[in-house]
Amino acid sequence: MIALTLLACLFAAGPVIWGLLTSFKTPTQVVSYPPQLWPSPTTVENFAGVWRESNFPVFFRNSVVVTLASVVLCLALAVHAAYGLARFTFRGKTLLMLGILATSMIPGIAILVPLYNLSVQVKLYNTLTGMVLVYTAWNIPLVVWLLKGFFEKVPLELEEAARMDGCGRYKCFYLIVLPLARPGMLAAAIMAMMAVWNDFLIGFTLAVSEQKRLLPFGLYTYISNVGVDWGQLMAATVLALLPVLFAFLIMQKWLVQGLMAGAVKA
Amino acid sequence: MNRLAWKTWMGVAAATLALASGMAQAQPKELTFWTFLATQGTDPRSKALTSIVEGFNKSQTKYVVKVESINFARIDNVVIQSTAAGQGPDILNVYTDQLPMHVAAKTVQPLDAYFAKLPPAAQKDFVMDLDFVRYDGKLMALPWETRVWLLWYRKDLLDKAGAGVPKTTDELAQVAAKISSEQVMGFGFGASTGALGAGAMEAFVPLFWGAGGQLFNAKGDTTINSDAGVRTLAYFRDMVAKSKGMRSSVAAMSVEDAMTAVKAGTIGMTLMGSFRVAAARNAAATGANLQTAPVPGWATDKPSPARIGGQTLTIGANSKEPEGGWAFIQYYESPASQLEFAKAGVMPSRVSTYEDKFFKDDASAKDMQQWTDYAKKYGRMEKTPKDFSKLSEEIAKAIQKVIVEGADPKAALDEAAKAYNSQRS
Repeated sequence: MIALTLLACLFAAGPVIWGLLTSFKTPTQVVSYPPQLWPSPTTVENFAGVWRESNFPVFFRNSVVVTLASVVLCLALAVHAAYGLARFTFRGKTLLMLGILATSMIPGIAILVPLYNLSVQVKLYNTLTGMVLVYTAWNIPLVVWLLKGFFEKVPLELEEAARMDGCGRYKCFYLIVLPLARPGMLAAAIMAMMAVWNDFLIGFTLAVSEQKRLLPFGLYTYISNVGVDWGQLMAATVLALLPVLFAFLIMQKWLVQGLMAGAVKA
Repeated sequence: MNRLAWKTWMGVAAATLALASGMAQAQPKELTFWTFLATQGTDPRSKALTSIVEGFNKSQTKYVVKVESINFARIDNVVIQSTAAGQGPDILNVYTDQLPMHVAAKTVQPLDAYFAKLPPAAQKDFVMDLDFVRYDGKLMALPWETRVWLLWYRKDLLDKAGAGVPKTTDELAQVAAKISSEQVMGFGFGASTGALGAGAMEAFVPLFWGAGGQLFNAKGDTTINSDAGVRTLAYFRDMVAKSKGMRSSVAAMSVEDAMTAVKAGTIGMTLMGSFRVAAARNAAATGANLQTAPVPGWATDKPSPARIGGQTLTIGANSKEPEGGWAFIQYYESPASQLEFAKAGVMPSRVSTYEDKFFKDDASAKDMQQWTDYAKKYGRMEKTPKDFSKLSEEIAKAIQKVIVEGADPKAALDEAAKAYNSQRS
């Protein structure tokens, strides 16, 4: 079993490790045959080139801005929707929940053209704001469903006790329920963050200017008609992986909780 | 407030408004220029591009050009999509093979009105026959670069094997076999459908023409399944199966992969465009080891025809400042800018540029002179249809079927021709 696990890990991590090692190779080592696994001598020129001689810092900044803004906006909207769905009973609730879920089942590529046309018409094409709005809308169904499970796990008695002590509905939600659902919010945040950070299609469709490109689209610029700059491409990929990797390492406990939420519910 | 004070305030306000409006008028108008060339990276053309755009912006005060670099395989689709939505660029770079697609998609404006204002000598100063960029009698773009397809070879590998530069296809097969080893593929090219099948087209067309083929008949249907096509595909098949100078793995390679392999010395020879030579030589492991020669012919008396193409500039259909776009095109194609591009390894599009002493004195210009001579003597241009990239992909698929699956060349080409011709009708 351990051997199988190791094999699976190697299978998954192999390309990442190869990319990491390539980022420290000189151009000659990158294209040498037979392939050279370990960089010798190692170089950080690829990282220096990426940071100093390309638009990588611009792409990186744009990705940070769009990811943070869309995650915050998404959470701000989704917590209210999720709480409503978790706590209230109303006609058409199941249908509404299924409707929200159904929107997340539409493949992104199917709505690219309408999204593009819409963004042009409302003057949000080639703007970070446009991308923030689309990513927010795109992530809301997943986050709502995830948080609904968390809110359902918050004991109703706590809210009732607070209300008996004179706490209003909103105050009760913000001061009692939300802090208790923090692990769920963090899990939802990291899932939304990964979805936005790694997305290529939306960013590619809604921005053309180099000053508005996000990282995944930016990585594409290392592929040109005079070849692929593998060293710099891998260095840029490694740098692009770091934020999401750190976020994952820090918040993985809550991510697992988030994914498990509802799974063991009676 | 008395009348005098009121008048004074009104005067100040009017003066401020006038000043502000004057300042607004003095602001240069921004022109967007979309090109496949990166504004960053190691390609010498990128540095030339940046320098020329900066030069234009400094040369006058009415316009400022902003460059947007878009991946070469995506730029045409992005332009068509953006122009349809009214978001197209003022100036755009179009490759000659893709120009008919842009004309059909109405993404570009005719340049005749501006071109007519040029002095007659300047109008005749183009290497490329401008009929090649005329559609329905209208001039739709102006070439700023000329390119020709060549045999690329690694001199170090040929020297090591004691082989000379192949002049015929038979010699090419023999030399490819001779320099092949476990690490080296003697001859190879990008035969995948990646990058719009560019690698397959670049390798197939010169040899196909050399064998007497013609890509299209008068009706516009492709005739790649002629005897010349079969001969070319059978040649590729035999190189893999008989002489062992090429491996079937080329089926998975794109044109960029093939270029990377030549740079690494893992492909000894390929057929590739002149425009990539300077960038390939920039690699540490390549340098002067990379040399070029005319594409080998089927007989000893002459090489295969030199396929000629080039990059062009034109004004976008959405442009509200076509005069500014034309001013930029003129600057971009001026002798000084052309010389700057020539120093970056680009074959100039203007005849007069070749008279500069750079072409007589500089060692790096000797190649360009050789390419120009090849183009002048054996050059061939064939106007391409708007769906040319579809044909490139079909040719790539046919090559793959023959060298990987062992399909009959005639059957594979018949299938490719049928696929292309049927989608036209």
